[in-house]
Amino acid sequence: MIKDILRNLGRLGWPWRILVVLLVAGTVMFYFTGSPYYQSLFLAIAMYVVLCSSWNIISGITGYVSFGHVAFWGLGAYITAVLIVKLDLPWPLALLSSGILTGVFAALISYPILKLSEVYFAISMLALAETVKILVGYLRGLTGGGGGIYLRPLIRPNLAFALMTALAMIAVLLTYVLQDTKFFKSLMAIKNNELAAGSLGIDTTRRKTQAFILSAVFPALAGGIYILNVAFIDPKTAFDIGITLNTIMMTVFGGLGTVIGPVIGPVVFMLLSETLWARFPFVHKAILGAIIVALVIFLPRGILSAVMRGIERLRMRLGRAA
Amino acid sequence: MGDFLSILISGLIMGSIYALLAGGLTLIWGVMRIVNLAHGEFLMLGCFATYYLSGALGGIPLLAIPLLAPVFFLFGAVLYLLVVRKIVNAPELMSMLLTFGVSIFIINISVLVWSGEMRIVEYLTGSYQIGGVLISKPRLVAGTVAVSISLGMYLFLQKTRLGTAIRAVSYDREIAEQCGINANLIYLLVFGIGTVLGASAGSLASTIFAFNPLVGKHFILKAFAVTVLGGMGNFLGALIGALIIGVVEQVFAYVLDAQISAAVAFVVIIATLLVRPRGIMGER
Amino acid sequence: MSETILQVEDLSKRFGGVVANQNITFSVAEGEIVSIIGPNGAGKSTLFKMICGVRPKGSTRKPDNGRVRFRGHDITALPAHRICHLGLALVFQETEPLRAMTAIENVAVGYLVRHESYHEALQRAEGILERVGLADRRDSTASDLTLAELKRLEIGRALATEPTLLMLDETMAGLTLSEVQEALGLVRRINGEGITIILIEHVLEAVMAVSKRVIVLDQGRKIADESPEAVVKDPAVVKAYLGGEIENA
Repeated sequence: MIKDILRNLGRLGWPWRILVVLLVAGTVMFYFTGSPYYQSLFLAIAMYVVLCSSWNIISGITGYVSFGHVAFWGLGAYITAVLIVKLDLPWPLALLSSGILTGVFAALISYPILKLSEVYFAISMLALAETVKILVGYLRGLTGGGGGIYLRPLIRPNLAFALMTALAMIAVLLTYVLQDTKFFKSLMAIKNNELAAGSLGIDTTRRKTQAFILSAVFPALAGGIYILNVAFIDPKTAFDIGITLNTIMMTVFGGLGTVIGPVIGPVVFMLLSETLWARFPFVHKAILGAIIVALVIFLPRGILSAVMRGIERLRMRLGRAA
Repeated sequence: MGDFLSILISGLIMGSIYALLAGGLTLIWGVMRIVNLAHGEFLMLGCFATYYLSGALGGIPLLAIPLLAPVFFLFGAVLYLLVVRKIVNAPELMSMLLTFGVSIFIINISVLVWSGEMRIVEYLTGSYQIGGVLISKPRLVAGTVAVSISLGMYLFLQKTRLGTAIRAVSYDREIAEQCGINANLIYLLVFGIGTVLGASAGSLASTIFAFNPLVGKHFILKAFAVTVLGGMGNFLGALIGALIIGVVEQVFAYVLDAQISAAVAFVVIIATLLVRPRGIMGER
Repeated sequence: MSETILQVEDLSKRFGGVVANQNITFSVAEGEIVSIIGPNGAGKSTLFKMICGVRPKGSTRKPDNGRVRFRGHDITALPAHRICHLGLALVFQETEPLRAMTAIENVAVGYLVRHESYHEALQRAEGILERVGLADRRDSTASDLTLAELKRLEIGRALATEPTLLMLDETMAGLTLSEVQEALGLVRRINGEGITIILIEHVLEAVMAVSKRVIVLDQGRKIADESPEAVVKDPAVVKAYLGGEIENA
C-alpha cells in the first residue's frame, strides 16, 4: 500500500503542487501579518474542511452516513479542556491526547455501532451525540456541567489559525493520498455492496473501524484547537447539532465521496455566509435547510459533479458544432 | 406502592404520546422507506396550531384534533407532492438528508414567526384520584386520547380494506400494484396520515408540556428509539415500544435524575440493536 | 489419487419448522467439477450459504450441526472473508456487483485479497477481464452491465482472488441457451487451469456435460452422488423430479 501512496503523491499535477506551496506560504505569511478578522474567517473555513474531510471518510467513502459527527468535535474540545484544567497538562500534550482518547472512544463504540445497517447507524450516531451532550452536562464535577469550562487563553489567534490550516491540509492530503489504495478501495467496496465485499476477502469489521477511528481523530483535534483559541466550551456549543448539519450540507454540496468536495463546500458556504447571512441567523438557517432540500433533489452528487457534467455537455456540444 | 403506580401511569401517559408520534414515523418508513427526520416538527406544529386554535375555541383543545386533522393531512400531502415524492424508495441517505433540510427549514421559520418563547395550552386544572395516586386531569385526558387514536389506527390498518392496502404496499410494492393497488396514492395517503398522527401527538402534548419551536428535536429522538425498539415499519411494535420507553424513562427519572433519563432513549436504541439488529418485534 | 479439497460432514439446518438441510455429507476432490442439483426447495441455496459463510446483516447462517472442512481447515463457523483468504471463492445467485464501481475496479478488488498494491491489482484485472470476455466493458459501471455480463464479472472477480475452489450458485439462471454454452465453456477453461469447481444448479442439462459427478438433493436430503450418466437413470432422482420437468440430457 505504501507503493500506491507514493505513486499517488508522484501523480500530483503541477498546478496542484504549486497550489499547495502557495497555501503553505500564504499560511505562514498570514501567521505573521494577517488581520484578526481574516485569520478567524480562515480558521473557521479550515475547521470545516477538517470536519467535512473526516466525515467524508466514514460517510462518503465507506457509506456509513453519520448524523452525529459533532460528538467527536465536542469530545476533543472537552477532553483538551479537562486535561488542562484538571491535570495541568501543557496544551500540546492535551491536544494530542484528546485526539488519541477520542480515537479510543471511537474504537470502543465502533464495535456495536458499526454492526448496524445504514439507517440504524445514522440514527444511533445522532443519538450518540445527544447522549454525550447529556452525559457531559451531568458530570458536573468533571466538566463544569451546563455552565461549561473556562480556560485562560493559551494560544494566540494566529497560532490557532496556523494549526487549524495545517490540520486541514493534512486531512485533505491524507484523503488524496489514500485514493486508489487497498484501504480506500476496500472501504468503497463496503459502501457499494458490503455482502460482496466480505466474500471478496475484505475484513469489513476491521476496515470500517479503521475508517471510523480516522474520522473521529481529526474532528477531535479540531475541537481541541478550537477551545484553545476560544477558551470556553459548554455542552450546548460542543454538541450543537448545527455543526453536524453544516458538515453534512457542505460535504454533500461539494461532492460526497470526493477528495475536493469537502474543500469546496466549506469554502463556498463560509464565504457566502460571511458576506450575506451573518446578520439574519434564523433566516440563514432556514435558507440552509431549503438548500439541503434543493441539493438532494437536484444535485444529489454535489456541485462539483454537476459542474463537471455541465462542462462535459458543453464540450460535446462545442465538439459537434466544430 | 403509590410511588410505583404513579411512575407507571406517568410512564404510560408519556408513552402513549410517543406511540402516536412514532406510529406516524414507522408507518412512513415501512411504506415508503423514508426516514422522516422532520417528523418531530409535525408534533411542534401541532402544538402551536392547538395553542392558537384553543384560544379561539374558548379553551377546549381536544376539539382541535378533529378540526386540525384535515389541515395537517393537507399539509402532509402538499409536502409529499412538492418534495418528498422525489425520494421515495431512494437510498436512505437521501431521505435523511432531505427531511433533515425540511426540519431545519421549518424550525427556523417557526422561530422567526413565534420566537423561542415557551408556551403551553392552559386547560383543565386539578387531578383525579386513581388507586390512591393523583393524576393531573390534562395528563389523563391526553393519555387516553392518545391511546384511543393509536388503537384506532392499528385497527384501521388491520381490519379495513384501505388499511390492508397500505400494509400490502409496505410488504411489497410491486405485488401490491399487481393486485390493482395504486401505490403512489397510498404513499400520499400514508404521508398525510403520518403527519396527522404526529400533529395529534403535538396537540395532546401541548396540554401537558411547555413547548417552543425546538420541541420537535426533543421528541424525535424518543420517536426513533421507539421505532427501533419496535422494529421499523411495525406499527404495533411502535405502540408497545413506546409504552415501554415511557415507563423506563420515568423509572430512571425517579431513581436517578430527570436530566439523565433523557439518555434512556439512546441506551435503548443501542441495547436493542445489539441484541436484535432488526428491532424487538422485527422489521416489516 | 487427488486430495479431498472440500468435505461436508453431516450438515443440517432448520428454519423454524422447515428442515432445509438434513445430514448432508459429501466430499469434493481437487480438480473435479461437481454439480449439486435438485428441484426447487431442495435446500441447495441453504447448503451454499452454509458452506460459504456469507452472513447478511442480522441473520445467522451457521449450520445447526455438522462440519465443513476446506483443505483441512474447519470453516464451519468462519466469517466470509476468512474463507475467501483460504481459497474458496463464490459467485452468488443474485448477482452482487459493487454497483457504482467499474468492471475493472470490481475485479481489482478481488485481487487485493492476497496483495497490497491496488495499482498492481488493476493491471492483473485487465488480464482477467480478457479471460472472461469483458475486456471491452472495462470502464463500464457495474450497474450498466447486462445480466450475462454481470455473471461473467462475478466470475472474473472470484478468479481475481486466486481461489483453489470456486462455487457457483445457480449461475445459469436467466441466461439464454447460447449464453449457457458460453458459460459452460468458461467453466471448463477455469477448471483446466486447476481450479476445482462446484456448480449448484436447477437446470440438469446445463451441468451434465461438464460435471464429473452430480449430487442430487431433494427436500433437504442427499439422494444421489454419482456420475451424470448414472444420475439420469437413478429411480430416486427421476421420482424427485416427477411433477416438475426432467431436463433431458
